[in-house]
Amino acid sequence: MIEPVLKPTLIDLQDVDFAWHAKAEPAIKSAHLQVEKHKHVFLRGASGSGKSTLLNIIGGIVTPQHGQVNIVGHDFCQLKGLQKDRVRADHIGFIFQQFNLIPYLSILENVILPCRFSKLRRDNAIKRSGSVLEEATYLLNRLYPKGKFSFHRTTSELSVGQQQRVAAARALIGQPQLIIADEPTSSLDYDAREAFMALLFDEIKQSGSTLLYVSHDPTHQHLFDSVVDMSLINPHLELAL
Amino acid sequence: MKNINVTYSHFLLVWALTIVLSCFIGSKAFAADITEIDWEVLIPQDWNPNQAFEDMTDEEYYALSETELVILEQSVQAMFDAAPVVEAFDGQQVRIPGFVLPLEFSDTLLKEFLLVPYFGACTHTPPPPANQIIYGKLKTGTKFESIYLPVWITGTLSTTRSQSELTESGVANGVDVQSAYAMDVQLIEPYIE
Amino acid sequence: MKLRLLAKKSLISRRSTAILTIFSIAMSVALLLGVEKVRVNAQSSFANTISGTDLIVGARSGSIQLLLYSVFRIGDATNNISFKSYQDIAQQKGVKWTIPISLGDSHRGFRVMGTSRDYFSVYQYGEKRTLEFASGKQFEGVFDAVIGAEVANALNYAIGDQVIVSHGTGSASFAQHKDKPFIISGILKHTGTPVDRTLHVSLAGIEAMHVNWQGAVKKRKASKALTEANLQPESITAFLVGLDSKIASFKMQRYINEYKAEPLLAIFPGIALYELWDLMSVAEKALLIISMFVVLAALTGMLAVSLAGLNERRREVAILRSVGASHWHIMGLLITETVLLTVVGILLGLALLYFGIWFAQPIIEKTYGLFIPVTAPNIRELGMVCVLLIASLIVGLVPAYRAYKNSLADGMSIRS
Repeated sequence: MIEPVLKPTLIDLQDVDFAWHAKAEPAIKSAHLQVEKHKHVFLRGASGSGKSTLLNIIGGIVTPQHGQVNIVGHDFCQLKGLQKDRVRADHIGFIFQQFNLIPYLSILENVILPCRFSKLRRDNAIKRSGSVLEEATYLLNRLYPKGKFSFHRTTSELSVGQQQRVAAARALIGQPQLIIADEPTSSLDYDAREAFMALLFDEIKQSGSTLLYVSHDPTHQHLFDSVVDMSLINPHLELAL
Repeated sequence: MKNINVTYSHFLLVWALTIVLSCFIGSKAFAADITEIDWEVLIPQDWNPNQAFEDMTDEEYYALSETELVILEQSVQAMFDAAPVVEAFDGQQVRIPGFVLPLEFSDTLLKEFLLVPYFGACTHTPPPPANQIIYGKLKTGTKFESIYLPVWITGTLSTTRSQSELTESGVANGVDVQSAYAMDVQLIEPYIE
Repeated sequence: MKLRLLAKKSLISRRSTAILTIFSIAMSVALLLGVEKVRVNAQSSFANTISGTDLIVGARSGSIQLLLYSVFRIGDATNNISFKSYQDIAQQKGVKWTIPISLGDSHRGFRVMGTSRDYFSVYQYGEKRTLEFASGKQFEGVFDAVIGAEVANALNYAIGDQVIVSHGTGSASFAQHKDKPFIISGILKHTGTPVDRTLHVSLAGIEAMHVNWQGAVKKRKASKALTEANLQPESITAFLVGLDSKIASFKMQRYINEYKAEPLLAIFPGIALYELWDLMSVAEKALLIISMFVVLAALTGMLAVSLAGLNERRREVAILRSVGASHWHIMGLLITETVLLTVVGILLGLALLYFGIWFAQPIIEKTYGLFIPVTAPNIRELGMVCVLLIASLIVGLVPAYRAYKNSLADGMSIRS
């Protein structure tokens, strides 16, 4: 039984070092990051600043060589891989820049994926809508107010904007505590971008999830509680460059 | 209540132990009932078909003519064919090594065979005497791989005699005497030195 | 189970390669099990043909050869044996019964065998089963014939039909005994042995056919009449012997092998059968090894396809990792795909095999006298299937491990 420690911060990184290979330069050195519950944080950083690495660490996909990582109350440095996978499944929803969806699953099947790996989210979905599929349909309808296509279709025929919204629905289903979005609107045009942000924030306000939004485009900064620059988190990177 | 549980489980334990022990002892006893024999004991002590040759001196042997030799050998052969059995083996459980000559099959499984002391009994002349052949029958067909390798046969022997007259020394008086060993075979195992 | 569903959907999306992989596995399985089935059934077909016979006697040749032509009607005798020798031996003490066999003629591809009336009551096959008549009865007149079940079926014969016998044992003959047609007096029940493919006539009938024939040529002028004297057979091809006591088999065998009047060979059918199986086992082992290599090739093909597709699946793996899939899930997915392909391949292979057997069964029985029944897989065959499944699991480990290594390097960075 993984016992979470009750803390106000959802993400707490202290003095984290990480290199992808033993002989390579560390992508992250002495990084610090704190994100409180229910907050919406805009993480600004250029390509190569170590953003992806940071997200991998927060997601528990990789273990830093040095430092403290506390996510949703769990000390990631103490947990084994399987345990971290479970925490990620239960508490974190990801939205990536592109290619979010599994091509051989339908839209609905993509959206309910997290519920296959997390009982917690599955139960939440059932509590809110009666069944996982109904919850998925509800979310999709909210994200596609004008959509008139069947959600049983495969994802291959969707436009990029439509795909991103399916990805958002998948990240949101079961109301995970933390949503991490890595440049989710970079591939969208202006209108689609606006619509996406509006819907995302609307949904997050309802569920009370914490949002960590990573982007190099400052356009929507104002929507967030706080703006953090990667150079602050990962101070040594400039020196390495 | 507790006392009853204790005695019940004790009883079960003793019962189980008894079963195991009796099986163990029983199998040992079973094993003890099987006598391992070799082919020589199947020949009655008082039967010696080569008597005529043994009684002869070397000079007498070389003095025999071609036809006399043939007749002598034929009479020995006749004795082979009419060899008597050792009645005492009737009903005995024995274990004996030998070579199998298959006779009857159930699909490809062996059901009946002749057991002989050496390989090539059908190509050697003269063939073994009748008391050196066992007619084996299996209740259920058994897989049998090679006629070229010796095996251990375990089973219950039986001796049969056909109606005929014998002289006192057990030699056929010209009438065909067919005595035979037969066996209800229980087990065929490969023979390993 | 989510892995099975994902695996299924994943394979369906890559149908064309999946179907090809399934087919190659199916064919290799059909081959492997087919070889095994033929092996087992050939052995039991031979074993089931003869029972209760102590010795088989023919002109001196090889023992396997004698067994094959006398009982299985495969091949021909090099020489005949004189009827006089046969009678002499048949009268020896200890001989309970004999069945003479005269071969050399045929009817539309089926062998014609001359024998005595005792054949129908004495001959045994399988486990001491005697022949039974489906209709009619054994021959009485010189030109009566009793045919086996397969002959009746294939040529649509009924009691009373006339048959013309040809000289020689080929499928066709241009020397036909047209003037001496035989009449079917009886049809035997199915036995599953070469008896079904044989026409049985009396020895007198064989002689009657060849009266007025010199070799393969019919004489223009009938110089001999069909008298009883002329219908006495002069020679037969082989005969079966049953003895009063099995113990006496050796003595009788030696006697026949040393028979002064002509060179004869007496064999124990059981021994000759084992020698035949020994001979066949070399071919069987070779076939088995080849089949196993074919299976190996199919598995290797599957592995190649799986490995080739791994690169484009790195994205998919990253997505799955992001929603909470563990490395075990990922490896499990790939292994499940491999095993699923193999299972479907095996099922398809079994279907192909049984269809093939059902289809070819009558042809094989007619041509080779080999009866291959459509039976469920035996222990050995099931064992082969299990080994194949385990092999597929091991094969699946390779792409699974590769994917795991890739995932370690990729993290959630979705590379395109």
